[in-house]
Amino acid sequence: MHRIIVATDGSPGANRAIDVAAMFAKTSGANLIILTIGGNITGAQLRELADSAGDLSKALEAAAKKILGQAQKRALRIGAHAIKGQTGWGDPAEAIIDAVRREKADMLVVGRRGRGRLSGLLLGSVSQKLASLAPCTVVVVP
Amino acid sequence: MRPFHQISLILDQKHLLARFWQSASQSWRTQRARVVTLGGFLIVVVLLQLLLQVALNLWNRHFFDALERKDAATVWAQARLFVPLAAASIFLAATSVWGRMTAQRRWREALTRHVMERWLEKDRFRHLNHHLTKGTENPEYRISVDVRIATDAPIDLALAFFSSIVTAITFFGVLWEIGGSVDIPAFGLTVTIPGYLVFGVIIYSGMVSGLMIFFGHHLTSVIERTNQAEAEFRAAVDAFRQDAELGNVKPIDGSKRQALQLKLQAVLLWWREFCWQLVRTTLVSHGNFLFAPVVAWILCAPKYLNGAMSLGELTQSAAAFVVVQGAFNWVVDNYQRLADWRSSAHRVATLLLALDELEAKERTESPAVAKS
Repeated sequence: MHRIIVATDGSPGANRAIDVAAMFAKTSGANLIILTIGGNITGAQLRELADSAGDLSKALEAAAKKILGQAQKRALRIGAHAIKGQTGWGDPAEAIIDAVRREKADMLVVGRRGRGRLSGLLLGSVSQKLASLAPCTVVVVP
Repeated sequence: MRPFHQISLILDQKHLLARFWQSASQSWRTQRARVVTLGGFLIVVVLLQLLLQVALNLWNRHFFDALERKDAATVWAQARLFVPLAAASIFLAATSVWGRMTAQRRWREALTRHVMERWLEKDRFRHLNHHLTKGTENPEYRISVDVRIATDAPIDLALAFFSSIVTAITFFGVLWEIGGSVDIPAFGLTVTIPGYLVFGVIIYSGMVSGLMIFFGHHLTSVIERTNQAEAEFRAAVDAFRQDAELGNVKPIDGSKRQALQLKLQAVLLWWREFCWQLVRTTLVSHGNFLFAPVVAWILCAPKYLNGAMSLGELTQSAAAFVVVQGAFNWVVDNYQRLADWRSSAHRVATLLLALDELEAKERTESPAVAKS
């Protein structure tokens, strides 16, 4: 196994996925790519960000960097070494599948539940879509 | 939001609006006679439209009274009367469109020429982006589109506001006179409420406006930010294209593509928020659309049922109730227009301030030229 991608939105479910992916990367010696999808925020968070930061684009970039930074620290603590962070944009499932194809990943690790609980109920969760559409092994962490 | 940030934001916005009006009202001063004539004409049209609305409201009453009496001759006479009333109403509506659009076109022309000439003078369009970093992105769009929106909306909004006020006052009279008083038995006494339909429409409109403010209090700021995000995205795409033409963008330039993605994401997030704000306000506006006529009928029903009001008076009162209620909704109905206007006026003002700054810089650099 050469490359593992783990997707995170900073939620507890995504943190569990990072733990599992970091463990896989540590034992197999694979490179770990941590991917976050930018702009995954609620309306209230959006208004708060715009009020406090002024420039929303920069605030979104900073928020994505913060999520990636925390995830990288977490993966390093578990023992993964070759870690790379990436930010994707747009529909989470599509952006993750694009990253899997681009990076030719052997495994994708995702949490079962992220932040989008209501939309997940209505439209199907991101993890469900990835499990059926991703062109690699998908590990869904409960 | 941090309080100082909020205060500075409000002061900044006031400053921008003041700068916009300073240039926008310039054409009013130079073409005073024309502005007064056109403005007066538009006011006369609004008053004539109100007169016709009152006539149509009375027509409603007479028509339904004739129907109730099964008076065929009056029904046909009223049907014939409707034709000239409708024709006059149609003519006035068309005249109003001509008057409004003529005023908007002339105002836009004056302001666009003013901004464009200042932008073109001394090749300022070349220097603008080098001298100032914020607020001068996409000047072409500000001159062509933002000036149009900033000069279109005030005329529509002002006329709608004036029309709402005179309509509300006039139809208050209709509601007071036709609705009369109502007796409500309470604790063995009878309480008489004079002009109860007037109080009814005030309470009902207050409730609708309150609900609208509760559900849509973020709407104007969300619209402004959506417009701003759109403008920034447009500017970023334009800058990307210009850089690419100059050979400054490599085939795979991650940071510049990332910047575009960020701007697009901001646009999409604001559009999602705008969608939710509209969903919330639609709950109230569509509810009001359904409830307002029914509330009017229900308020009039007791008097009709005990014979104190004829069917014609009932329909006239219900129609007047809906008209007054609609007039009260001016702010609610124009939320989006107001927000669009504010964001466009701010963008025009920012460009004007940048041009002011550039002009001041030119004067300090070549005082001899400035004196001449």
